[in-house]
Amino acid sequence: MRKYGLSFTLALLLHIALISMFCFSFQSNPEMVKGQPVPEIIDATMLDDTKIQAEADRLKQKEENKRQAEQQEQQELQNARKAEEQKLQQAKKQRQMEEQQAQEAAENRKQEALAEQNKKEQLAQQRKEEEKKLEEIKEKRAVEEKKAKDLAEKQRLAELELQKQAEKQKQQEAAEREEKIKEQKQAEELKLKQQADQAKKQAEAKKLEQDKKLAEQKKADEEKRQESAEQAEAKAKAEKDKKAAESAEKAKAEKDKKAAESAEKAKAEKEKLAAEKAEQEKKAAADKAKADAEKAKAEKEKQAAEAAAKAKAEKDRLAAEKAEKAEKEKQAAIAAAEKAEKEKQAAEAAAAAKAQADAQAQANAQAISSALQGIKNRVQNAWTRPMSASQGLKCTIQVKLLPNGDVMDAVVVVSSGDAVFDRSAENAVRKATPLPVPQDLKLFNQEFRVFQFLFNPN
Amino acid sequence: MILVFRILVLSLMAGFAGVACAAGLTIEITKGSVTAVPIAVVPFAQTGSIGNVKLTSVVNSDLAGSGLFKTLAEDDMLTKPSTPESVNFKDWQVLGQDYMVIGQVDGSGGNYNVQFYLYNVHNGELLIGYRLTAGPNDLRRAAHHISDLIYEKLTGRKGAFNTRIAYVTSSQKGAGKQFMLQVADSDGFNPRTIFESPEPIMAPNWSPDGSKIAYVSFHSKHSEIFVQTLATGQRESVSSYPGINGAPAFSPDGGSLAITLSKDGSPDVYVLNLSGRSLTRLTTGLSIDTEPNWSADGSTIVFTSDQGGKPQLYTIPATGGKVSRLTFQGDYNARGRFSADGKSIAMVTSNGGGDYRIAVMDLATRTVNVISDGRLDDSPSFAPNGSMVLFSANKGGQSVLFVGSTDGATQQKLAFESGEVREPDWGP
Repeated sequence: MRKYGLSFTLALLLHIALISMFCFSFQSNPEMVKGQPVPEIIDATMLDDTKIQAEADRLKQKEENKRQAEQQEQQELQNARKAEEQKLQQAKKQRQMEEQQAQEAAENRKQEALAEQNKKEQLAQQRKEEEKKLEEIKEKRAVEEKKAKDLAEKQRLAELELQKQAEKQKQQEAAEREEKIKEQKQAEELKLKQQADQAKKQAEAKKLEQDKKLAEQKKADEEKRQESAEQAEAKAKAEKDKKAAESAEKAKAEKDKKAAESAEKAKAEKEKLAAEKAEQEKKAAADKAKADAEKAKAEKEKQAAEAAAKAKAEKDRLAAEKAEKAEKEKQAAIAAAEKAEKEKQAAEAAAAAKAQADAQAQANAQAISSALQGIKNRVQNAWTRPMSASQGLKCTIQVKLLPNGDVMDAVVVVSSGDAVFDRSAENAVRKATPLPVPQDLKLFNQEFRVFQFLFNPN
Repeated sequence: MILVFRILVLSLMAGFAGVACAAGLTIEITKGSVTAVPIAVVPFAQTGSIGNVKLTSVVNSDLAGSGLFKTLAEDDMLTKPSTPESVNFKDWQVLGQDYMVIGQVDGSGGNYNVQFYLYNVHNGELLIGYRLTAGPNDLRRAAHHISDLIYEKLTGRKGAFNTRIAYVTSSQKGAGKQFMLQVADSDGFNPRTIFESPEPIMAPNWSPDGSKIAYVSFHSKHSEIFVQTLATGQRESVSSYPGINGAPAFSPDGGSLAITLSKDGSPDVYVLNLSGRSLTRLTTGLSIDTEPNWSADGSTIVFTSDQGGKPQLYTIPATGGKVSRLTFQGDYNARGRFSADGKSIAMVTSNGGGDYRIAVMDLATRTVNVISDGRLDDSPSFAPNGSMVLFSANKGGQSVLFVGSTDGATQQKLAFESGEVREPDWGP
């Protein structure tokens, strides 16, 4: 044992080393990629029963690769050196080229200088010719200018005359117009005067009529008073007469009683006288009454006539007023009608605007709802639900669209917790591009520029 | 103090109001098609010798076969970029693609250096950037690994492309037959024989860690259960009782096997502890109780029994106890297999007439969904991620293997060179 102690230990160590190597090689099973997308590349090795061989091969390969790499490096270095030499040569060549170019450039410059002199001469000649031409042109221009000036003056004169004539005409027209205006004014004044006169006359007539009326009334009153006075007198007289007659009869009877015959004659005479007197008085009273009656009748007629006239005037006035009023009313009615028309138009316009707005709103609502349905259908058709997904999953995707409906961006804003489900939803939205959004840009901006999808298949 | 509180509350409310206002128009999307996701896998640029394996064909086949993806044919591609700088996402949007994969393979150094990128076509987001090295014989595995990465990123579930399956083939050899227990990639490529016998081999079952396979062999003229370690090829007889030794199933911890034994009369389900070889009887009675399978949490065992007259599925606690019937639909329900998430059971179902199909039962709702076309489909087995079911089918008088999606949407026949292929089991 002691004799072989060292070799035994070495053998043991070798075995341990081998075992540990095995262990390491066993651990290197390829690891699965889990969870989130991996931007980095994962290294893995497929291992089977041949793994040791493979490992060895791999190591050999590695070494070979290393050797190759070193060789490559050396080659690369050599290559680099070569490249540098080549570069140097190229640089030399370039210098030569540059020198040649410089010489060429110098020659070119010379030639250019000659060419420039030639050119200058040619230019000088050209300039001379051009100056000549210019002079000719100047002369021509001078002639033309003169001509043009003459023409212009003539034209100016003609224009001035025309202007003068036009002014004369204008003045004449203005005078005529003024005259016309004067005439019109006079006519209007006349009219106004006439109207004023008429008004005055009417007013006077009215006044007169009123005065007349007043006078007549006064007269009538007086007459009435007189009449009543006369009537009263007559009554009183009649009563007196009656009393007198009675007293006379009494007296007569007394006289008859006291003195019969003598008194008869006196009595008769007296009676006759009294009767005559009474008759006369009666007659006078009657005449007077008759006259009064006639007078009253005449007055009445007069009054009636006056009243009729007054009534007529009143009527006319009323008629005039009525007419005026009617006119006013007519105008008012027209104004009202106009106003009403205006109001009606305004109302109609407002109604039309409202109707249009309503129609627009309705159209918008319709456009939105039809777009919603269209988008929903398109996304549902595009959505491949993962078979492996479990029940009850839902997620929310937010989209950003371009006005033509192209999906610019789609992101998961509320995850289902299942990456596969989320991805299927996001892909469905992206796949459905372009989405049928409304043509109306305003509507698009309002509702469809950015919105959300809820994927909820349950 | 109260004032401060009020101000706080008010400002909070104002904030909420602002948020509410900012929300504006919201369109609710309630429907979507549940169709395969379009993805374009652009042929990878190749340098050096690659052999006859075309990496992107494998990836395309994997993805399309899952039923969750619709791959784009190479002829339909407008351009075939292989570097991120040369991708124009518009081209792929026009083609209606959601995702695209580009990459390069370098086979100049003996090993393969593969680099690939997965992009979201709609926003150009890089979802995966990955570089891996694979051995000379591992290019297919590398491709499956890429498929797995893509699958997981885009579905949120682990891929099962880089897994293996075990199955039994039989072929004529001289006067008799030759049976072979084989292990292959999940798409049937790279088959490797781990045991072979002129006598029948049955019911292979993977250990949970994928290191061992238990199976029934009649190599010694009677049924015997073996556990074979894949790495070493070493096999060990664990059950050789008189009568039937059948239908081994590893427990989720790998320490026990549920098996069927008829040593006590009628076939019954037992649990065999592998370390101490102790046996626990789970079922009793005169009925045939067989084909046990463990739930992923190890608490329950599902098995087939004819105690109701016809074969139906029953469950029993793994430690023994009350048996309860699971299936009531159809004349025949057998070969129950739990999915890894314990939410569903795959089975063979029949309504009579000799038409046997694969069905998947949702354990929560007890709804049964038939996923295969028949007529003699058998031996269902879930992929480790539960998205696919592997089963055997009889097409044109020959037994072949199929992989179907659990919703029945897609089915893919696995490629094998020749012979009958049956009794598949999908390993980890």
